[in-house]
Amino acid sequence: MVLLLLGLAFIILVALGMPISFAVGVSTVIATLLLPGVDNATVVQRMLTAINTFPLLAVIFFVFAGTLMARGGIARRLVLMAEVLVGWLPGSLAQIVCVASMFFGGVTGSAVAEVSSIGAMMIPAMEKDGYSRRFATAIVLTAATMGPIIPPSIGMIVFAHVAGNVSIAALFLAGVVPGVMIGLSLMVASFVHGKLYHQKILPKLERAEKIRRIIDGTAGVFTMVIILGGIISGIFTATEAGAAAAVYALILTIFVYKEIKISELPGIIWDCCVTNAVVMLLIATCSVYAWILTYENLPNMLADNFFNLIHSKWAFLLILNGFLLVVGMFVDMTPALIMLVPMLLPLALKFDISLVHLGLIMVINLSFGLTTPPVGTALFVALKVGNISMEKIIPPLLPLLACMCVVLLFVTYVPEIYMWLPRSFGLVK
Amino acid sequence: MNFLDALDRFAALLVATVKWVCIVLASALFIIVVAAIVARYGFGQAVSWTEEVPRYLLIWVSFLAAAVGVLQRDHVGFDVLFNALPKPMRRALGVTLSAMIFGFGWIVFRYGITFVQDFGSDLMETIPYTNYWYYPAMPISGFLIMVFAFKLVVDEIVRPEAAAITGTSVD
Repeated sequence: MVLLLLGLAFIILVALGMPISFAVGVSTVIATLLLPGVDNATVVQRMLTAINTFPLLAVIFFVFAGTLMARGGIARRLVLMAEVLVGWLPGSLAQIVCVASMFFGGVTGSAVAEVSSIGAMMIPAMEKDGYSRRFATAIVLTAATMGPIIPPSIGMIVFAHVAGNVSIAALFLAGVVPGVMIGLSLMVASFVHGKLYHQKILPKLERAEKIRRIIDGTAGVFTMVIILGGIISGIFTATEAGAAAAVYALILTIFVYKEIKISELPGIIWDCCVTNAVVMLLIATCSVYAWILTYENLPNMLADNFFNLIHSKWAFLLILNGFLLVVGMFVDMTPALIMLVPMLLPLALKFDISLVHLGLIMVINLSFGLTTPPVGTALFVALKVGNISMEKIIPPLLPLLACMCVVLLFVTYVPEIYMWLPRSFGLVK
Repeated sequence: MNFLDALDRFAALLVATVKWVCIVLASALFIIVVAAIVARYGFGQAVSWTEEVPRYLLIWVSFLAAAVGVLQRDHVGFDVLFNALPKPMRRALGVTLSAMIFGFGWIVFRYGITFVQDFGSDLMETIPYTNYWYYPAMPISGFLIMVFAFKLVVDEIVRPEAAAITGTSVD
């Protein structure tokens, strides 16, 4: 009864427009009135201890590196490099969006950053080249889901924090193949779109120009080499890899490209502090909420009474995907991860699903949720950047989401296609 | 100077102070982690507190900037329904929600003080300082949330536009 009331309070407050972190916070305060053993002092204490861990520092560093890269012209250089690599394929500009987003996913861990950086450049360019604005917006939006899947990934850091016994490095490495597969699936869709509706060919580039663009773009992609290489070789922890990526981004954007002035740094740092604070407050309040749900034995109740009816691992995975897709339609990734991971862990153990596998399924499903109506935060940014209404984007969005769902099925049912990577580095058994 | 001007100025002063405190603390956090890597590989020395102090700095930065996020409407939420409401209802709802945020700020402030009093004198893990150095982040954040939520309430009542109190995602 109390749990039902708690859930209702949260849903009503969020639906009415209260920020999620405060809706959760107010709900937990309501819980202190109803539950013996839960008091406000504990709520405050747990909020603080929830973010008192070294791995969570990675969030602010990756946000910092990503912001520097986005403002320092890296996204533009990645687009120019992508033109050299795939500009000759049918659906050229859409192909460029897919490949540039794939590379930019290795620089930032955020779909919203991808939509605003790549979308601001590519949606007007695609429209000018004859694409419909709604297709241009839809391809930018769906390609942005690679942001939280290709490492670095804020979602994976949050998952590792909540799940406990799982390495961020393993999750990061496991995310590479699914991220690239999503990019490839969208490239196939762009190819078909190009063949059917858009057969224009981009002008050929000079050889010297091609080389210049590749060198310029590779400098941005090298961020991912620092992050993954540093973590895999044991040189850095994930947090330190974030700091190293930020140092590299500082050098590249301030001293090499000279697109950011030192005088702009305080403003950038402040923006990063606020972005980080939004994530941390979500983690702090949602952790208390998740603790109350666990305190009230909800994970075991669900496992015993609801999921007990499912006996097959495959059926569970299917239901899990459906459930997460629906949740993702309404709730953002960070709060969904913090509240759901404690509930899903016992079930994953029951069905012998590894934490890396569960983490990938959750992050990918919830990344899709960022693009789907009615509540998709990347969707809202894309609609703003593309300046179109929600009903107009849905028809081109659906086939693209269908392509991505095929990848999701592979990720869910054939984990071997990506687990070999963390396994080959000894990060998982 | 009337009450509204004074409130505006007070809020702007708090935001400016928090902003510069956060910039300094976040820079220190970054420098410590980078210096720890350099010390480990450049000089072969692992310094124990370089894992602990950045955590405390992160707590300060996170809770202080989170409070400013209330005023700047940066916190993630769902504003479709809110924005669809007619203006008078939007205004009434905005006031109610902001008042609830004020209430939550009060809880964090009030029980944050209790928390500091009860456990602040405990020692940190690797350095000989007490938790008084970072536990106060909670009551101070609670106080700032109260001030900024109060300003939101006032703004919703007296300003011409009633806006949603949420922001976009960071995911």
